[in-house]
Amino acid sequence: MKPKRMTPKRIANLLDRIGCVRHPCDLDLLLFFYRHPRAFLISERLAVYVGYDLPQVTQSLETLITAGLLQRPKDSTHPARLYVLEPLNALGGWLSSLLRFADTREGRLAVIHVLKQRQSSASSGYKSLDLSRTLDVSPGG
Amino acid sequence: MPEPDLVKTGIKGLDNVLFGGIPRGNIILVTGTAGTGKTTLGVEFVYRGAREFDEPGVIVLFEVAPDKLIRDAALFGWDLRELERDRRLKIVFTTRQVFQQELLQADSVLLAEAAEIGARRLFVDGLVRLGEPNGGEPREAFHLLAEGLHRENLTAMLALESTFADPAARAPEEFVADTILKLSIEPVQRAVLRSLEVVKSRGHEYALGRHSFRIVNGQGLEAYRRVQAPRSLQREVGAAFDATSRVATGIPGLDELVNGGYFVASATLVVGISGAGKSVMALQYIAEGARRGERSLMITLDEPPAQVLRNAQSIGIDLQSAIDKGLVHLWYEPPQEFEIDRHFAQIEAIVERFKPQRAVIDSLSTYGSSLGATERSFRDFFHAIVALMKEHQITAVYNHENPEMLGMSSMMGEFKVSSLVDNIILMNWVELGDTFRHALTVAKMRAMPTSRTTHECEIVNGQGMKVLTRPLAGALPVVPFASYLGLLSRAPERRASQVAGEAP
Repeated sequence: MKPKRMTPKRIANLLDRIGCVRHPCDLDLLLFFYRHPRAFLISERLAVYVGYDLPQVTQSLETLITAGLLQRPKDSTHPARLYVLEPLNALGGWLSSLLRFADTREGRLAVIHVLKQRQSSASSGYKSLDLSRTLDVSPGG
Repeated sequence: MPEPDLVKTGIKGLDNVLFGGIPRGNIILVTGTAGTGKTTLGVEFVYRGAREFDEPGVIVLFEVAPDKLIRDAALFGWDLRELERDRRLKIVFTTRQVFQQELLQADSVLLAEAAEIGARRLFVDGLVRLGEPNGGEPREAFHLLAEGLHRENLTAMLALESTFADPAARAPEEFVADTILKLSIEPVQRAVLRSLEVVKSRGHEYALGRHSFRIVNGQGLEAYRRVQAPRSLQREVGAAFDATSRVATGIPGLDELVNGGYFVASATLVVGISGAGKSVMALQYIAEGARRGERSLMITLDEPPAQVLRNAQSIGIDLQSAIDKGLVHLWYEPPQEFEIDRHFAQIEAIVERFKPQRAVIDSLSTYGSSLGATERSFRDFFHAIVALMKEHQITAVYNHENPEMLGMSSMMGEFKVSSLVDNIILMNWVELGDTFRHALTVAKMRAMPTSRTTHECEIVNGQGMKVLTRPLAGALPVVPFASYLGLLSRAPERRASQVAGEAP
């Protein structure tokens, strides 16, 4: 099957439907857990793996857990925590589509580009997205 | 004595090496350098457990991302995602530090995760020598880790990187582990050979020594028990001969020279230079079996099947028809990069499945050139083959190429195995005038009388070989030893007085 063209508009549409992915760190954490669906780590190590500072990682983890995309047992007294990615068919397959697209270098950069534009729009008023860039992506689930 | 509760690995051939499996609850250390197959072994151990023995498992990874492990496992046909969905497998990614500290906790999250799916097996990939959290000895740290695993009665396999320059050196962890499987990969004449060794295994018996294994796409590991390893006692006593039955050779005139045929389950060596007629004899032996409705196995190393079929046709044998009827199994293995343990395991499997009554190996010299004559490998292999055939009451013929063109100073050259066989037939060329003519001598017939006279043979196109009758009128008179000088020096001369007094 020929892959669909993934435009920034379509990326934005996916992000809207997923709702909780607003910061690049949210995306990178999701990508990490996409490759490591059951990870037992201390958050400092997780921060090193994804390359963000600890407060941002902590905030993004809370975002993903609150959105129900990630599970973390609450009763642990250990410094390390077990993180389990929820099945990707949650959210009607939108999350799966986004992660499959963002699992490539180009795809990730495209999503981060959209996220950064949104952040910038939010802080300085509305700015239209650059719709000229297009990328290939397999059809979403 | 109670039978040990053995955990079958499910890995092809490995449980045979382990005499059934590994005692439940053992801590298994898999050692080896990078690329030796530790991860594949460990993942297959857990996969087979979950898939074939209803024993869920947990895989712990430190460096390899789970999605890559799942991708690589798919190459072997192992669907790890399906097992995860069915709650028969969990793959946990963590760090060595977290793992080590975790298992020391009474309320270990990791072990709780394992218990949640009723895990019976655990594989930890990429362990390096452990450092004790408070600066203690690695051996003590590993002991604490083992205790944590014992609590849950998990049969745990831990892959440990070998980092020692000296292969004989032992990691402290090896003294604590219950079972140690050492994987190696070594160059053999520009190829490589994988081998595994059960260094120790508490609580049961196992086959000592280094056994070969392969990593086979679409399947996984295949271990082959060392060919030299002793087999069942049944194999050793298999040569209980039936002293009355004879197996016809298929060569006109030869049965008369071997008292009506070979003994059942006997081993016959046919020795001669290339072109002396060994393969023709072999084909006729197989064809005779087919004619009598007996199953025959022909193992050919020098000539591919199409060539063997053509050769058979040229002497009037329709081998293909016998194959189609299920009376002949023709098995060819090219001699390049022989893995002798695997080769022997394949022969064993064919023998057990096809149950031949006759067998031919053409030829032993090819094994010799692959295994080398100076080491014991060839002799051990041949001994194992002879024992296998005897156990299954197969009457076997082994061809061996002797490089000497005219005459023979030794039957087997540097391959000293003639004592292992029951019968030896020497095939020679005899130069008469300007022609090499075929000659056959029955040099040895164990437990049977033989005249050791040399007979002329003939190979006729479209008909094959036959032993020509020896006209009595032309035969030499049998003269007593007393008529000769120099018998022991192997240069006998007739005493002059005897020659002079002899009738012309």
